[in-house]
Amino acid sequence: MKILVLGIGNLLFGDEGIGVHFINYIGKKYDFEGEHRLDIVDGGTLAQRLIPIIVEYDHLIIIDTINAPGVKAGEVYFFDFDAVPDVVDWQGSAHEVEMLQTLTMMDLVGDRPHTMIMGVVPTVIEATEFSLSQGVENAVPLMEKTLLAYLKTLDIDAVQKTQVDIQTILPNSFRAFDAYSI
Amino acid sequence: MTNRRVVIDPITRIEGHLRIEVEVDENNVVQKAYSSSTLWRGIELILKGRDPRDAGLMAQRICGVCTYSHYKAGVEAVENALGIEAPYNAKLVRSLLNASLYMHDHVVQFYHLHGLDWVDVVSALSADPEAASKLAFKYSDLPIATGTDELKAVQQRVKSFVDKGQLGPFANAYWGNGTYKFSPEQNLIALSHYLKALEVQRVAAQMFAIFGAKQPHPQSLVVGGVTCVRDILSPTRLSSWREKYKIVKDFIDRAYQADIVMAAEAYGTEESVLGGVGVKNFLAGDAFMLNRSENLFQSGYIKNGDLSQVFDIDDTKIKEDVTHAWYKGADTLQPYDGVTEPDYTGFVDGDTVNGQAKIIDESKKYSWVKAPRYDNEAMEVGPLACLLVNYARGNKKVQSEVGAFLKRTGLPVGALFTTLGRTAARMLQTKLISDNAITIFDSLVENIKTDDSTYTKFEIDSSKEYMGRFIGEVPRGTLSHWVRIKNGLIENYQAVVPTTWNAGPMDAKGTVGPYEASLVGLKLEDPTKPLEVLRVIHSFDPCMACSVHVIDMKGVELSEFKVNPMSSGAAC
Repeated sequence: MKILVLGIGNLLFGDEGIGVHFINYIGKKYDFEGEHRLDIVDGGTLAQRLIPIIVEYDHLIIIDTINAPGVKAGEVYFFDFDAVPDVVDWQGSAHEVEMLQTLTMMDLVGDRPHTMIMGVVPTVIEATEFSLSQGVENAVPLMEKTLLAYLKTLDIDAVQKTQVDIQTILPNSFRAFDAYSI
Repeated sequence: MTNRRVVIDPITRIEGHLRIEVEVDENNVVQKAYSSSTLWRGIELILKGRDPRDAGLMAQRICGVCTYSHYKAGVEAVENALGIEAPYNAKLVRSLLNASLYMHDHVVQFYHLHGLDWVDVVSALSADPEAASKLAFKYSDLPIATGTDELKAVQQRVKSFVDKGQLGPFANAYWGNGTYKFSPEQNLIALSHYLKALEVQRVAAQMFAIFGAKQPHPQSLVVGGVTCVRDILSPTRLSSWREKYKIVKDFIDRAYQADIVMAAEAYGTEESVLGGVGVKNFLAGDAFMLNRSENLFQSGYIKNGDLSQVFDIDDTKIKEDVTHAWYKGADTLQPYDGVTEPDYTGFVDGDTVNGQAKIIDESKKYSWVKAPRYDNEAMEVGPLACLLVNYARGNKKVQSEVGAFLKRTGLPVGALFTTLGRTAARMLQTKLISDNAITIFDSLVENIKTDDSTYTKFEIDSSKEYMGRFIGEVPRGTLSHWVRIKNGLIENYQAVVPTTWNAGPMDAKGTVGPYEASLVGLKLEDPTKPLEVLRVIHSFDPCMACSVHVIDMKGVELSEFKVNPMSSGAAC
């Protein structure tokens, strides 16, 4: 099986970039061992343009920011995309729903892999610096634990290779060091 | 009776953050229109104080669609400032990447962002597949994805999708609106191409990735050249590009072109698409080096729709006005000296056709987009501008492609200055690019036989000050990036993006930009379902720079999916 961990977000917008920062952090910190192949990719905000990459995988784990009724900043949600009802609003909103629209477009062709979504609730979404709010930064250990526990259920073990401080990742994420080589 | 206001927010089908408000009179004819970008873009601030060699990599993060355009613009603006000339191979690779991007981008724009303004999906479900299959031969000698069985399968596939309650992309349009003009069979042909385009766009993305080095964010451009040396020297990579290119070109020739010819026939007398050009000044940058002596498109501008005269662009006449934009400052500034200091004043309460709502106060500031002007005039940019400027310049390739289209559809030159013409121009531009991309490819293959240089060395003297810019054509129109470098770092950076030219608000003199001007006089069948407005605005291919992508669950409770820090044992 081929598994893709896909970080989504715009790193020019504070917390909005957490998906990208997080996968860079994970990629630097761990090696992954097991029978399956695991790739970690910075998807930025490319949405539709990610389809050719996504279709090459059997299992997709998306890391992104999320919004829903009653959520609080810094909370982490993790769910199977098929377990939630039709949430894709094509009218859009103040925030975009591009990633979900992309998944629906894949359904139209019929080749979307099994999809899990991990979302963290952001606070600061404005262009200032490559930085995270305290709330979202504090959520990183929980996101990490959740991801590793889930990968474990897929028989993938994470082996720590070095100690990484996410603060050292933030200023360099734009270089896309965990990019996918075609 | 006073005018009533219609608010459409957001207006873009996938790339969001554009709001349009129109005032209609008692006959539902638009009297005034206001265009507002509702998302702040701060790239200019982030770039200040950074290493100029990173400008392109950071600028590409502005947008999820225009990635390469901003990447290349950022790299070439810095090259211009430093006085560096990239080697011929590098220029060809950049040109080839640009061609790959356009072939992808315009197909997606027409089918997935704009197509459902023209195609009524519900009507397609009632079409006779056999009749549609025959009809397809009227628009193409070799139609694609229109066999009777294929069309039946398309109806089945879409119907099952709709039956599941998952309307997806089809939930957004105004089915049954009287300004939909395709017959059920024509709708079915176009719907089949919509689905086929979902497949073809993947091949197009792969084609781009071959010389883009890494996916999904291209990494192969650097100040001074390109880094994909091994890719351009690899026969396998080269032939792989050519294979994918053929597939995408085939679709453009046999589906995209055919569907626009079909639209020209069906919509040739539909009033709501035969206006839509209010600002008749058109500006275009140059693009697509084909070989050492020729670019596919040249730069310039025309005024008042006059194709008999074309003028050269003078950089110093590009300025931005912020009178009605949410920024501080009173002066109209050249981008080199542009200032990006937010001054957000928000919306006010008002009446709309859908009741009380927050609306634009047009007497004040109302958009995050500045109003660019050339020599104090508003200008339309985009594929239509590119074709008109090159037509006026006497560009033989453009004249012949445009001429053939007009002849085939029986439309006069004046038909280009319409919403329909703008949508057709994008196809014609795509066709020109896909027909000529192979020339770029051949130039590259020929040159690498004797020359493998891809990089020009340079040094940044930190005791010197530099300034430079990129001005060129990208899928949505003329893009420019402007940079000042001091102490070896970026001192000031401004991007004047195509959608800014088109979507910008009024300037100090009250002159309106292309979006706002394009809607005046448009009659709406039903102001609560303003499909006509969407069609006009989508024909410009709006893309508000900067994407923010919070997954919004739209009222769905997620509490059962919350990860509990305690039970999972995380220490935080």
